Amino acid sequence: MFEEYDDFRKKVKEFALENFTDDNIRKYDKDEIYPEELRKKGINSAIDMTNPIKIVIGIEELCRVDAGLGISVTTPYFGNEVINLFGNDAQKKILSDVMSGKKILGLGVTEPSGGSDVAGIKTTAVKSGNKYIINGSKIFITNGSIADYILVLARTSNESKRHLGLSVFLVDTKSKGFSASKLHGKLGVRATDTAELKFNNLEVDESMLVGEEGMGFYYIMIFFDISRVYVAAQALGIAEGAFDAMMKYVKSNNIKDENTMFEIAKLYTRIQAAKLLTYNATMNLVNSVTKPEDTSAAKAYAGETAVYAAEKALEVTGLSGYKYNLDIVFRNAKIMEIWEGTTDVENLIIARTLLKGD
Amino acid sequence: MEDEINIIRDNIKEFSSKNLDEKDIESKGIDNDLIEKLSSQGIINSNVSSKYGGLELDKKASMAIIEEVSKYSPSVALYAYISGIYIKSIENSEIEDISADIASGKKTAAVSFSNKNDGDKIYDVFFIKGNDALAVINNDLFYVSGTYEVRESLGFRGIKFGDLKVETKKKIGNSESFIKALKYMDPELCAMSIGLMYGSMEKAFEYSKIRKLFNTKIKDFGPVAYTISDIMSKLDIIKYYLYGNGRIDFAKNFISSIIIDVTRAAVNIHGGYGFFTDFGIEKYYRDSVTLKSLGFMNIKRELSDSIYGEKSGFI
Ligand SMILES: Cc1cc2nc3c(=O)[nH]c(=O)nc-3n(C[C@H](O)[C@H](O)[C@H](O)COP(=O)(O)OP(=O)(O)OC[C@H]3O[C@@H](n4cnc5c(N)ncnc54)[C@H](O)[C@@H]3O)c2cc1C
Repeated sequence: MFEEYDDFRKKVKEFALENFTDDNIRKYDKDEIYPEELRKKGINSAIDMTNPIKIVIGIEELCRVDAGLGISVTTPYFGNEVINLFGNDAQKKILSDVMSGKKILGLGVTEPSGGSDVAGIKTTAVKSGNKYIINGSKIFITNGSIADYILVLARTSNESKRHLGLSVFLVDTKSKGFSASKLHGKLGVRATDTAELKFNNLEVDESMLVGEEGMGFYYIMIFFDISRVYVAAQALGIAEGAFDAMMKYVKSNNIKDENTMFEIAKLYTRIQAAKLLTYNATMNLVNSVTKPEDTSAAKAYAGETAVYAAEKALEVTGLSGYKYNLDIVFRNAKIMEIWEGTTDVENLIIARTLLKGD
Repeated sequence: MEDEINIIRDNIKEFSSKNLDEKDIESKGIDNDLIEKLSSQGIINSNVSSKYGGLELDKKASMAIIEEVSKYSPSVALYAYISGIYIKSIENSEIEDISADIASGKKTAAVSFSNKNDGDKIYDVFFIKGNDALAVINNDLFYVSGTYEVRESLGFRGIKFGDLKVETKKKIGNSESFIKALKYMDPELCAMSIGLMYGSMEKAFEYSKIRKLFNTKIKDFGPVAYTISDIMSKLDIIKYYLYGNGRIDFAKNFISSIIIDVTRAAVNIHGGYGFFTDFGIEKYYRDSVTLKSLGFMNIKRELSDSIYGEKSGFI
C-alpha cells in the first residue's frame, strides 16, 4: 500500500539513518534531552504534515530507526488538528507558526487524578469579563517544558453529565501563572519532553477559547480519533525496527532452527496485520470517514505488536540484543500501550462503538 | 520444616524492607557494607558448605530466601544467584578457597553468561566490582582478569554489566562444572523469578485498590481484577511445582511463558505512572526480560528432552 509515496518513504529513511546514528540514539536516551537540532533538520525533509499518508509514513520510518528521536521530531505539532478543525482565525495564525516549525505545540488533557477518565478532570476555567482564569494541573504532558503553546482542557461549567461543561483553550506558555516542570526517569522515549504543568490564576483571553464553550470533550475525542492513527504508525515503526534487528541477528549468526523460523513467521504476519489496520485507519482520515472502532483497533493492535516484537526480538537475540539497540527498542515500545488511551480504553471504545448499533 | 521456612521468610522480609531500597541500589550499586549484610543474613551463603562459612541450609530454605529478597531487590537476588553459581562452579578446583571470601562478602563474584567468549575477550559479565570473573571459553572454565567495558544493562541495574578485555587467565576446569552449577542453581533461579513476579503483582494489586477512575476503584473493572487474579493463581501453581512436587523443569517452563506478561501487566495497571522509575514498577519489566535472556533461553529444549526422555526438538 501507499507505493506512490515510495520516494518520500526513501527520503525519510535516509534522513533517519543519517541522523539517528547509534551514538545519537544512545546519547539522547541516556541524557533525556530533547533533540532540538534534529527537529530543525527534519523540517521540510523528513517531516511533511501536508497529508495523513505522508504523516504516517514519516512517523513509521523515523520510529523504525529510533522511536525516541522519531517521536521527538514529529510531536511539536501535537494537537494541531484541534485548532485546524475548531479554531478561529487568531488561533490559526498561531497554528501557521507551529506548522512551519517556528513554534512548538502541546496538548494537556491528563491530570494526576486519571488519564483514562477524561471527563473527570479538575482543572477549571472561570469566565471573568473577557478573560478566563485557569487553575489546576496537568501531568505527563509531551512537549510540556519546551512548548510555546499548550491546548488545555478545562472545566468551564458543572453539568449533570460530566463530559459536558469542558472547554479547550490555547494557552501561551509565557503567560503569568503557567509553570512546567520537566519529568525525568521515563522507561523509554526518553528524548521526548514530558512535563507536569501548573496553572495558577492563569489569565487567557476569551479569543483563545477553541470553538464553543462546553464542547471540549467532543473536540478532544475527535482529535484522539485522528492522533491515535499516528500512534499506530509510531508502534508500527517500532515493530518493524525490532523485526529488522532480529533478522540481522538471525542472518549474521546463521540461525536456522525451526523454532526461530516460526517466530520470524509469526512476527512478520503480526506486523503485516498491524500495518493493514494502521493504513486502513489512515485511509479513513484521508476520506474523512469517522470510524473510532477502526482507529482504536489499529492503535491497540499496533501498540501491542510493538511490545510483542520488541520482546520477541530480545528473546531471540538474548543478551546480545543491545548490539542492535534492542534494549532501547524494548523500553520505547511500552509507551504504545499507554499514551493516548491505554489498550483497555481502546478496547472499551471499540466495543461501545459497535454496541451502539445502527 | 514449613514453619522454619516461614520464619526465615519473615526474617528476610523484615531485613529486605529495611535495607533493600532497589531504587537506591539501581542508582548506586551494591556497596561493601551491603554485601557484608547479605552475608550475615544468609542471603549469599545459605546453600554454601559450612567449611566455607556457609549455612548449608536446605534447598527450599535457600529458595525461599532468594524469593523474598527478589520481591524487594531483584538486583540483590541476582547477585545471590550469581555468587551461588560461582561457588558451585569452582568446587573442587584449585581456586576453591575463594568461596569463603565470596560467602563472607570479602570478595565479590563475577560471571560471564556468554557462549561467544574467546581468549581475548569475554562477554556479558555481571559483576559488582572490577574483579576477576569466571568464564567458559570454548569447553573450558577460566578464572579471568582484565579491564571491564561497562554497559548500561536493561535490567538488574544494581549489578554492573559489560565485557572484559582479557589480560590474564587461568584454566580451572571444564565447561561441565559451570553447566552443572547452573543446573544446581535452577531452583533459586525459579524462586528469584517468582519473587520478581510477586513483587510487581503485589504493587499492582495494592494500586488497583486505591486508584479511582470514573468514580470507581479500578479493581472493580473486570479486565483489571481478572488479570491480577489470573496471574496470582498461576503463580501459586508455579510455587507448587517448585516447593511442592519439585518439578523444577515444569516451573521453569511455566515461568518462562509468563514472566514478561506478568511484569508488563503490572506496568499497565499503573497507567502512565508505571512508565516512570519513581514508581518502582517498570524495573520489574526490564528485569524480567533480562532474566529470561539470562536463564531461560534453553528451557523449551530442556523440557522436551525431559518429556521425551531423549534428545528432541533440536531441528
Ligand atoms: C510519556 C508520556 C507522555 C504523555 N503525553 C501526554 C500528553 O501529551 N497529553 C496528555 O494529555 N496526556 C499525556 N500522557 C498521559 C497518557 O495519555 C495517560 O497516561 C493515559 O491516558 C493513561 O492515564 P493514567 O496514566 O492516568 O492511567 P489510569 O487512567 O489511571 O489507568 C490505570 C489503569 O486502569 C485501566 N483502566 C482505566 N479505566 C478502565 C476501565 N474503564 N476498564 C478497564 N480498565 C481501565 C487502565 O487501562 C490502566 O491499566 C502521557 C503519558 C506518558 C507516560
